[in-house]
Amino acid sequence: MGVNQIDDSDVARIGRDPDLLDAFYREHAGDLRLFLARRVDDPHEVADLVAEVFLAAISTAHRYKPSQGSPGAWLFGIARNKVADAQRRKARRLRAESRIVGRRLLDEDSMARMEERIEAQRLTRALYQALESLPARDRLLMELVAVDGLTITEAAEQLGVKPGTARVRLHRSRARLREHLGDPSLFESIDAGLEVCIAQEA
Amino acid sequence: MSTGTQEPLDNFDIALLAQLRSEVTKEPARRVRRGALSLGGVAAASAAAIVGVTVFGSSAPAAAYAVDRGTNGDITITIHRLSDAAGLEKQLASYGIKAHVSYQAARESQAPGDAAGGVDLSPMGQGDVGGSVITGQASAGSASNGSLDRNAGGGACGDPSHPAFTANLGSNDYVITIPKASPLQHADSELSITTTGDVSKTLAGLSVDYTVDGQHCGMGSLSVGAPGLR
Repeated sequence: MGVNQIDDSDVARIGRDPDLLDAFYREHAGDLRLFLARRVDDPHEVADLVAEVFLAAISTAHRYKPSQGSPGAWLFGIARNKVADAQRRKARRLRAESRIVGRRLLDEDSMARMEERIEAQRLTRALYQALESLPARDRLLMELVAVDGLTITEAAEQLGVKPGTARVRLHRSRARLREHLGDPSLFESIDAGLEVCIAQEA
Repeated sequence: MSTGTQEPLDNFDIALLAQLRSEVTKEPARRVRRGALSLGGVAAASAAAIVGVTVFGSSAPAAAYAVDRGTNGDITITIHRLSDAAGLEKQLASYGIKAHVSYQAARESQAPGDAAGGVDLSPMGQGDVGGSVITGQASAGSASNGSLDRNAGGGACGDPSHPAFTANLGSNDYVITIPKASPLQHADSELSITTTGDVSKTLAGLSVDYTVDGQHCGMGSLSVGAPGLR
């Protein structure tokens, strides 16, 4: 971690202190963009979402408590909601109106960098879409582990279930995914990682 | 989960971070729920100036609106609640402004037996996810944040470099300012204030529009943006 890392207990003040916000942004912006690129394939939309997520973070930060999870997990939680909002809006063909419109801030270089990241996450997005075939609570667990690379313990903690329960659900989801994924090589690549994950924590 | 990968900031990051920083230095009371403006995309389709507002039915202030003329000659209309449209029309007439005010959308959705009457304008919400939008601002008669189509009209609509009005969503009200030089204070003009959107979903917009000599003036897009983008 870099020199800009901020203490978990300071996160509650990022909505009031610009320097803390600065440090928080630098620490999490890269991961957040990757998180979004695993789900969204349009650079403009990713840019909008980055802005929306940070805006939501600064306005709710005062309620953040380190005891409830790491700042990264908290931010990803916000991001997950924003992605879901965006999908609902898209379904209703509404455009987002936000105080800061991320896409307006994209210049050519930033755009290219965003596209590279999105391209790199192509396979993961395919997986993310395949997760649609799972029941909601299993999907979220699988998403955290297979898409976001959380450990089972971390994912279980975020969802408020026991790690043992999480393992059982993951096994079940794996079987379902194998059925639903058209591309066997995609399943293999996901599954290799999963197997290691499940074995390690068993 | 978080790898803590710190990459060098690119121009996008720098621009966004600058705006976020300015956001957190603003007083919290000026912030508005993000959701408050989500109607914008829809509302932008039709009027000179539209600002999305959340609408709440409780704790209404005593007066639904106020009209004042400042020492500089500007007229300020402050709308606290979407009620007594006719009263506002009358009061504006006493200031020499012909106006059409209609809160039809709000009235339709008003809960039966709501003694307070009208709908409270409160972009602050009730401690919800909150916070990203400070003001929605729009103006007609001058280009703001993008498109402004103007009917060809021999200058009847006024000097393009001076807005005929500006509209701002404040912390709990909606403020329309009509500058002294605005055609709305001089020419044969009409100001129109109407509600748009679906108030029953506690989300609506106010649309402000004007005509001069019977000619429709200014079609501005919704102007809700960050500082520096306007």
